[in-house]
Amino acid sequence: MATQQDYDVLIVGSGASGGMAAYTLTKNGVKCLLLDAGPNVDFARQRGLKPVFDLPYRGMGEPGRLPHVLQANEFNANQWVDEKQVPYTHDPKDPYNWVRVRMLGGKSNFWARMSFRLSDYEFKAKDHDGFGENWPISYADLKPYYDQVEPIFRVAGRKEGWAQLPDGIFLEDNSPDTECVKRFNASAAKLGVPTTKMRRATGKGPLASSLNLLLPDAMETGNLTIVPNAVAREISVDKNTGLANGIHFIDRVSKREMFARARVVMVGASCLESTRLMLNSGLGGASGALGHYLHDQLYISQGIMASMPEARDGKAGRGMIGGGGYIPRFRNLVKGKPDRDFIRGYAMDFSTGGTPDAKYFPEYGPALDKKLAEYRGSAISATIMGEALARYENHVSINKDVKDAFGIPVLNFKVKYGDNEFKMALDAKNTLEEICHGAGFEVLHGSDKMFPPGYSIHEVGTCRMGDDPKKSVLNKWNQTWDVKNLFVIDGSSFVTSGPQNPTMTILSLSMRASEYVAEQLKTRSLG
Amino acid sequence: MKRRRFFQTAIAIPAGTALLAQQEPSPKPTQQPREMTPPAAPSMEYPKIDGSMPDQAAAPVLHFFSAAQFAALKHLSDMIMPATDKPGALDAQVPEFLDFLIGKSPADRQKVYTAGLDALNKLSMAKEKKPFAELDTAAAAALIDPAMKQPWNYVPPADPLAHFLQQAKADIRTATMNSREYAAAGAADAGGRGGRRQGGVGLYWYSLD
Repeated sequence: MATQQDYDVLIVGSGASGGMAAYTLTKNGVKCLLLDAGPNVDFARQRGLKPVFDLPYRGMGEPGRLPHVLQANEFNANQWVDEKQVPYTHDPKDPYNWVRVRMLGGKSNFWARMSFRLSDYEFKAKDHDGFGENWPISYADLKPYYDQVEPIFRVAGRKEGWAQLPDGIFLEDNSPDTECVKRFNASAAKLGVPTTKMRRATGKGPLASSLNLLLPDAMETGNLTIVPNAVAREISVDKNTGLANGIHFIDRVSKREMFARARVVMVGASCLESTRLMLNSGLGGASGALGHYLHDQLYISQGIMASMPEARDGKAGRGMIGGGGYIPRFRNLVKGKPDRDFIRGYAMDFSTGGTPDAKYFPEYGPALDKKLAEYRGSAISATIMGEALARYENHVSINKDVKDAFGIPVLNFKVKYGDNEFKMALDAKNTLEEICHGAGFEVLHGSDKMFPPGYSIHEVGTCRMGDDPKKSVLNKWNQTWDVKNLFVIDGSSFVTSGPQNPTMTILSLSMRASEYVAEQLKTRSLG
Repeated sequence: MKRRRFFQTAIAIPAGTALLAQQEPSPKPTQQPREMTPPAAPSMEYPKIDGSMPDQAAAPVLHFFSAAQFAALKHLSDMIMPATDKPGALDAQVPEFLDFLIGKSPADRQKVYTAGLDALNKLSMAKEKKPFAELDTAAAAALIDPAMKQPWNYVPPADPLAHFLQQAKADIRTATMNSREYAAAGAADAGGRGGRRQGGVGLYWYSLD
């Protein structure tokens, strides 16, 4: 067994970014120590089937337990981070929904698997519309890494040749569309709105996770040591060299403080936990960008709820309705010619089949039962995800007055959506309504009411990369400007989010940074 | 019958049957009894005893709603989910459950219920000169239908009664469909009322060590 002095790289976090770092580095012969704040969960032992009536709150959830995790229910409540154990603060008027998982594999155990590439509409967004900053890399820099990541995660999709949503190395999805999807697509096409198949990681077995796709291969190299239940408190820096030399962490179970040493530290604890660790360590703050530019994707689930009349009254047969698709960004694609009163764009994924929720009908009692039986299987719904702008004023900082159960100061959030997001949300809802009306569907409900920031679980931007050390925390290799052997490899390094789900980009950035670290270790240029 | 086997059988069959069995004449032995074999080693399985949930054996003690609020909630529950060929909200003790659930909830959720129920009784007194609980179904429906027709949105209605009715409709339905009574009646999968999380079985995450 390695002693603490033997590790080349210490990785914090075992989700998409940390897992990919472990995978890439260990395959390059680099000895790694990986710390994760949560336990090593045995999925077979940790979960069991239960009837809902045996739950204390009849499936409606323990009141007040996870007020910010709208995704939580009484079945899965234990999979999320306990907000009392690891709290955070915000102005009650401006809520932020910070959704967290602490277990080996992290959020990659539960993600929606939607797998997209960013494009130069994101990497070079400032060149396109003048707002914000460009990334220090272009799509061409990251393409070779997307090409490697997608086969690992077995991404299915259909190639389209669109500049705003580059094609990938897909398991080709040529499945036929149902009548309902064809009508949706045709109506969208009439409005100039493109549609495609969903691009989704099919994974292996029940998961498409770091836990089953990355960490086992890394372990097999013999170069990886994993320590679960290790809550990172502070990155340690050698006062003589100015280099990071390890991590102080708290054992989650015993609360014992430990110190792990390595030549390089790579932080991939998720956007905001990584930022919190950097802030609590007093590192990476020289530019003033650390903790700022927090953004995500505005999110409206069920931005539309509609019904296909022909599928009602038990006629929702095979081939008529079912399946769905994806609408990539289509607004503001021509440089210098904005087509709406907002910049950037939004994407939407839609699904068909199922029954509209009872809340969309004014009836109650037997009349409602009759209505639901009539509409059963006829629903069309869509989720809106739009790019929230990266603005300096949206930020996190350390609240020294509040500490978590491990004695670590917590984050305070100051985040609001602005006019651009509100206008974008309204346009998205109107577009969905227009598509559904054009397809002959009955629109039961349309919504432009966004969930609070954070809900999409796509938070990015708080350790952003850049070409200028005065404006960014990281350089183009995810390396901190301030400490050359310290890297931040998760979504916090994003400069813009785009409307695409970020996981494929996080994985690709982590792989790219890890290959760079492996090369640098050979020349000992990281110290 | 071997001794161990006998005891297993005696435990499994009802006492009356066991006694009757003992009264039957014993068959005459056809041969000399064999030497007793030593008892087999006891099973290494731990016993499994079925317990019951408290509401199967006891009545809940109410704490939260006032008598007037609770009476209105009962009447409303019966309108939202009346018993049909399936159990209704009252069969599933939904008002009693909501007294527990809302009583444990944050203040803003409690206020939705208390303000809404008070508004309902106030409206009933103003229009019908008696509390909501005493109205017949037609009169009660005439009171709540205008507010029920407000379209649902993520941002709830400003009117306390409309806000409460939207929330209560969802809660009463869910609490009924997720009840033991509903599942026992086999209604969870029937009539468009059921679902994986509604009266059904779900994959439960146990507490992480």
